Amino acid sequence: MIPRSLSLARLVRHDLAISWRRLCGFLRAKTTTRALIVLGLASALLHLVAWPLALGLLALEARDGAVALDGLGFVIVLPWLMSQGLTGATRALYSRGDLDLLLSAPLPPQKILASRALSVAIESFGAVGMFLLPVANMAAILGGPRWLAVYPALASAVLMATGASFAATLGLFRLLGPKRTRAATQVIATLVGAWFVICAQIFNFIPEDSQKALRQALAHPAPGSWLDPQGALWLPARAAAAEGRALALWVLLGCGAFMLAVRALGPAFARGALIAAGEGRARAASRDGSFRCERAGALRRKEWRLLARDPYLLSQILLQSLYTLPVALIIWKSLGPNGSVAFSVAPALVAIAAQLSAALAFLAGSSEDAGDFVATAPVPPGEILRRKIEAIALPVALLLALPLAGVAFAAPRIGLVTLLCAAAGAASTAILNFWKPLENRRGDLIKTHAQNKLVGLVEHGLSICWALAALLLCLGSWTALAPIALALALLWANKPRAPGVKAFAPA
Amino acid sequence: MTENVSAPAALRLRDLRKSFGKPAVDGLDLTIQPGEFYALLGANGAGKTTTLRMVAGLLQPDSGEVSICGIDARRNPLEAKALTAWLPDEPLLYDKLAPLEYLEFVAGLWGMDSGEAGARAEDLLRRLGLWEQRNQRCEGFSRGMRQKVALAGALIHAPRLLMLDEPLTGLDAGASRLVKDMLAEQTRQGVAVVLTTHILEVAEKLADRIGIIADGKLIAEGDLGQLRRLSAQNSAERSASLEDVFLDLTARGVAA
Repeated sequence: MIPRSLSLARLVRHDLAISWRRLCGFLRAKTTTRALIVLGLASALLHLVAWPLALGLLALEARDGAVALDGLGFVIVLPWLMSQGLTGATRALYSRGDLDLLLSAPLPPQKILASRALSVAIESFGAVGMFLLPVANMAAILGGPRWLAVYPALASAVLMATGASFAATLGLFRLLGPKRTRAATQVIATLVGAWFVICAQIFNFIPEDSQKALRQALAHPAPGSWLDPQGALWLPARAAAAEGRALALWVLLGCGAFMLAVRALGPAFARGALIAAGEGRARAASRDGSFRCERAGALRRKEWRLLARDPYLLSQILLQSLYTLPVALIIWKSLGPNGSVAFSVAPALVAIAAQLSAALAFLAGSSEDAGDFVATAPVPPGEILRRKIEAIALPVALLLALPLAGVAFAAPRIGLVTLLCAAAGAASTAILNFWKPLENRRGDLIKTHAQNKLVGLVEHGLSICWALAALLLCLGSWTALAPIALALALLWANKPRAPGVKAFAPA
Repeated sequence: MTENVSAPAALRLRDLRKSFGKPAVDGLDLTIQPGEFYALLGANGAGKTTTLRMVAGLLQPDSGEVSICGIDARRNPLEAKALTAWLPDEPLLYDKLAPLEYLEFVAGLWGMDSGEAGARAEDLLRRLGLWEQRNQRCEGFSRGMRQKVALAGALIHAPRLLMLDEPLTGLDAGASRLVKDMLAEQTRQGVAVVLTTHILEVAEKLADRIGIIADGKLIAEGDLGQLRRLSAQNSAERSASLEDVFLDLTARGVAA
């Protein structure tokens, strides 16, 4: 006979308790009371910010109607929910903390999946609702209780997105295998999360005529077309706008989709989690190549291998380059008459170079699993640092080559100034990150991604200094020396005092 | 063991001191000849690992002298490091690198020639039974496999002084025998091997000489017979095992 095991409610409570502790850790709150106070204060602040937003919404509602408005809201929120769901589903599949224990217990896999999926859904609702619901609350106070329909509409959307995310993750798992699924979901989550930025950029770069036509179609949709508010696509928007039947249908749909997903995916989930637990033995990392150990190359290649094999890093670079793409496009659009636009873009490029190199250096530093071992090698500490910086310079240079070439083409002098300042900025933030040693090991870093706050501040200071220097140099002003001096002073102040004792560099 | 009087000692420590608030290594004197297999025994916290870390150049001694094959390691750390390999008890590997890639990196660190290092890497991986896994990432490896990869990393640059901290932890009987054989072979080639272990049987079987360290000082040194005699000065037992001798000497804190 199978003994009675934990109820679903108890399992969800267990998952949520763990999530709560993670949140407390993130908020650096030692006790539950403190975390509650922080969250309360944040919520009050968000309600305050939501006040003018709600007033604006009500004015727009009077002009365009609530359905169009909520439709726009869903276009923004749904990808956000998907991104949350994908991250949550990946974590549920790969966080080995207690999954081995649960799967070895006499529990049906559907129940484990249901509890994991429910807690992911509740977390997403909290994460998105934290920002969205204050606006709904203020709109309800100012414009009437119908705005509270956003609550059930959002909850239903969360359930649907969570179900879809688990299905997508497990589907990818089947297609790509455990290793690549983790990387793929992280990249997709990043892309989906950046959806709004991408959309805004796409809209900016489609030709004027098409923009006009799209606006026209939005204002006067043809009945039956996908822009028609009475169409099925607009169901969530009508639900959020408190249309009774639509709301009931949407909630039913959300719950149904979620339950169906859990029922259908349970066994696949259990299989997936077990395979994920035994990953690593699965496949060969690389093929035989020639054995090359010439020192400088070997040191750089090791950094590149570690960087390339970090899925988290890949999504970071993707995000960074996604943001540099519009900059390149702006330059591309404005090539021609004079270099004035290139001139306005130079400081932005310098700042991006500095930030990107900081992110890469931080992650390269955190991937140094064997610092003590490297320290026993007969290599001067300076050389190890130099090779690491060279290894980081290449990806930064690759990502910035295109926009930099654009600037140089438009205005060669500004291009040269940008190149020099970007190189100096990138080198300075990279050195800063290598000088400041990482206390925790790599695994913890991925979980918390807790970079030293002070280092983060200095990093921003450095990139602003170099960007300012680029601007002043472009103007041909000698005052550019001031921010350069400030940047060097900032760097000097963060130089390790007792070389090699705590930093990664050898003694 | 072949004592070569003309060649400088593989490792010579004179009055080595290191204190973390209280002394961890307290005036340690130690000389190990090329080709000698030396086991350093001591209770937890006796100062074994601190000593090895100072020799490896990971810790700066407060005072004293560290000389490796005649090179002053405090004055010329890079020259000394070029001759030394250190294998800590927790193997220091990169999860995301495959064994062959790891060895490529290590060979680069020690500035080896690619042709020579490539051949050595293949030889080591084949002998350690890791050739089939040479292109798989270390993250999925068992503790014993990781230990073997780290050992290959320590041996690839042909060190003259090999220091191992608990090298047999996590190895199965077959792998353990293999590693012991490889270490013995190293000593035959004139490499000095220093190992710390708490498996006294290993020290008893392999070591030419055994040093017992307590409170940062060397309290007894010699082969098993000499240690037995030291221990038996106050008792009648002459056939005691190394375990008895070790427990007796550390309890009494005998100065050799």
